[in-house]
Amino acid sequence: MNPAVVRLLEELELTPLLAADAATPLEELQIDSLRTLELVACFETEFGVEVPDELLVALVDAGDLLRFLDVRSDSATS
Amino acid sequence: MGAAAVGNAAGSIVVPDLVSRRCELRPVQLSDIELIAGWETGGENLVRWRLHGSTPSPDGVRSEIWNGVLAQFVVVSRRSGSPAGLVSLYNPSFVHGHAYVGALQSPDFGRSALTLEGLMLLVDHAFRCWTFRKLYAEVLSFNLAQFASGIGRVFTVEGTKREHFFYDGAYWDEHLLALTRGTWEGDGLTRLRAVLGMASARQGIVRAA
Repeated sequence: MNPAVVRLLEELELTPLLAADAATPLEELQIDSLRTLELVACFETEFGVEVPDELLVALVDAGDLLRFLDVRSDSATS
Repeated sequence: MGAAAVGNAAGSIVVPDLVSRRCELRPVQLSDIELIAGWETGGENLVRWRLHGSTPSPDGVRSEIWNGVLAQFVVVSRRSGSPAGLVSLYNPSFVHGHAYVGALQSPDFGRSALTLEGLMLLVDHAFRCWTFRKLYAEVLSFNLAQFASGIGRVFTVEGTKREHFFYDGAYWDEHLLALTRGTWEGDGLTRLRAVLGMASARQGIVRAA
């Protein structure tokens, strides 16, 4: 995982995501609409990327979100 | 009398642009009625939103949609240009300084939280244009989980109607959430308003008297 993503998750108090089983629904991790909104806005600001709406709609579980953050952050910094 | 009532020396004002990071608001038009009726009755919204299972006629939707409304906007994605939801400011009390807000998301936009971002734009607009002290939202308990992380940080639960609403064999609570001007403009939400690109963060805040 990109260290900058880990730092961002720590800042937003979302580190339980890192330890969760990939199939854990985001709701069980208390990642609700408001948390999603904050995470996406901070992620876009940090990495200078724009996240298409349709990618967010498809996120269901911890694995989806972690893969999404990893891939998008790598594409932003490479 | 405070700065809001006086304005600046040049007499100019800063007009909020109703645009944030990912969305913008545009006033509801008659041509939006069919779209909104589709959202109200589509997917989970049919029972989660105000109709609670009923399906009014298109004329019924048209006659009800502006009842008690002070300001109402379609939330539009800036990325795709697609309408994503509806946000409303309604039942204002200018004597007591409060109003209600509500939001309806298109079933197509699920987890995008785009309509929630639009709702925050509406809150920003409401506190800028009127002297409201706080804004309320009535939320059924089975909808609260969608933004429960905001309890205590963004809004408070000021009251609960116990077993107020029937659905699917059970009676559900309805909560009254409140967001004060002080919380919205306070330090705790500075970063959130900034990263979302709220006008109050980009253009500055003029506090009410």
